[in-house]
Amino acid sequence: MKKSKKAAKWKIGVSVLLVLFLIVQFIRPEITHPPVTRDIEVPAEVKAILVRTCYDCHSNQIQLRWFDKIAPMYWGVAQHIKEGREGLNFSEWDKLDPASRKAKLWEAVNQVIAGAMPLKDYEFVHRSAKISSGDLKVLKQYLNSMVVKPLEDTAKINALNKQYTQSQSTAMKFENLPRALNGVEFIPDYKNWLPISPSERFDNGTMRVILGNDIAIKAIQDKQVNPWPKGTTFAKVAWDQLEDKEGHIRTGAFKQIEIMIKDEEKYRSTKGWGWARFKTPKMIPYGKDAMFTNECINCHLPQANQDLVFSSPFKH
Amino acid sequence: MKMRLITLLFLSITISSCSSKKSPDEIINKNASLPEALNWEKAGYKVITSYIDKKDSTMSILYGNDLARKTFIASENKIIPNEMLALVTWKQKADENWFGANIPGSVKTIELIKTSDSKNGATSIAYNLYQGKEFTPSKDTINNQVRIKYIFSQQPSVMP
Ligand code: HEC
Ligand code: HEC
Repeated sequence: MKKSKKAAKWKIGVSVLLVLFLIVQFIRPEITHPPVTRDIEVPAEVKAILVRTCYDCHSNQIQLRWFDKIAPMYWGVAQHIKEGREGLNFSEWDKLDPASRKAKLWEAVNQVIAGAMPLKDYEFVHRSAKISSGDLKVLKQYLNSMVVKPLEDTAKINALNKQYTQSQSTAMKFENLPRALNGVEFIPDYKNWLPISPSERFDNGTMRVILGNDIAIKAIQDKQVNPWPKGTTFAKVAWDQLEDKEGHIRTGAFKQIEIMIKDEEKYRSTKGWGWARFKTPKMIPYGKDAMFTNECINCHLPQANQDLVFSSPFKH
Repeated sequence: MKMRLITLLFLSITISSCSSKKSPDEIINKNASLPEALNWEKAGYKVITSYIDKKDSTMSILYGNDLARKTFIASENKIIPNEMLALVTWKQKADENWFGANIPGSVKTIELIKTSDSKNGATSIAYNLYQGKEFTPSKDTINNQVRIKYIFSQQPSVMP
């Protein structure tokens, strides 16, 4: 008697779930199929890895498996494709200039190394999308083969000399502080901060010095760097590399300065940091609108286990 | 937005990505850190320039007090009293967090320069070389003049 009642309850429960399951199948966000305007051109073995592991979210040549098409999985898939294409689309390689293409590839491989890509939940169901250590070696070798020696030439030296003379004469004063499109202002005082690390970027032929304000320097001394305290501010300055015949590299023309200001409340919508990038000594704010911060965040995100900061600071 | 929430919900079920937070000891670059004896902040050192030596796989930052930095930027090729300079050179290592970058490994040398008034009106230059993080004074003075000349010949980086 009791047993059959329980069974009936079970049956009802399962039926309700089944009906619900069927209903949700009709909620279908659209997955668009735009044309391939220009596919990325890389050696075949590199291409094969990208197609197998990245193309389902970062291309216009998406191959859905039957289980991808079942809601709720399907919703996740649609969302991934939308967001994935926004940041990186191997089928629209013509939309990027040559320098940006190169930068995207380095970023892509770094996301793989950091374990951020391909997305873990995707990899979990698509076993073939796993990147093996052999795959990674192929990708790294390809990138290393693209590195060019940043030898100095007249153009680079002239660019530096021009900036140099200007900086001596005017000390580059600003009437109004340049402001990034999200409102974060340039901080001229960065020059008086201590460095926390220099870096040689052979991926793009620049060299950088990252400086920290007093709060940052104190946090390093007190070993309070994860999370960094409120008010921590970093400035990263990038220059061209000028390499002479003896392999001695000095700073060339100033390229850009980037700023990160820590404030959990104020910058809640951008992961607790206020981001800014200014290009050339004229300090031209980077990006089309305030959403430029997505680029910063997406690349810094694999550092989430150290408060989105890449640098390993040295202590003074 | 709703779509996103639902998606997130299901995603959080499928993934249980446990990224463990790194400890400060793992984050701070201990081998590249400078000896406390230097009292760096008090000295008021600021960055003048940085450079890399591919042959030696080293990278350096040249620091100076305000006066030194001003003199370098004016590039009048003169050396005046009370300039303080510090050149730190590190062995390079690959950046673990970014394939495509090299960062400081261990401290190789620290060179300190202090200029002062001497009796005969000329500026005298004191140069000291220290080895490594232990800050061991070097007794070898053979290269002193070459190094002084080299350090004073550096062009400051453009920092608008
Ligand atoms: C299951 C879908 C999916 C797969 C497969 C996938 N990605 Fe992504 N990728 C995303 C999504 C979603 C984002 C944006 C949000 C984020 O970073 O989590 C993204 C972001 C990125 C970004 C940052 C783009 C930006 O905004 O600058 C890079 C780089 C990247 N992916 C590289 C790769 C590479 C390389 C592969 C293959 C090895 C790969 N992804 C595979 C979904 C995917
Ligand atoms: C393609 C990846 C990438 C993108 C995009 C990116 N960064 Fe970074 N960022 C790095 C790396 C790598 C470092 C480590 C220093 C180095 O070697 O250049 C770094 C370091 C920094 C630092 C010094 C603190 C730290 O995290 O080490 C600041 C400040 C910074 N970035 C700001 C920005 C801002 C602002 C943006 C967006 C306008 C941005 N970054 C976009 C890769 C990126």
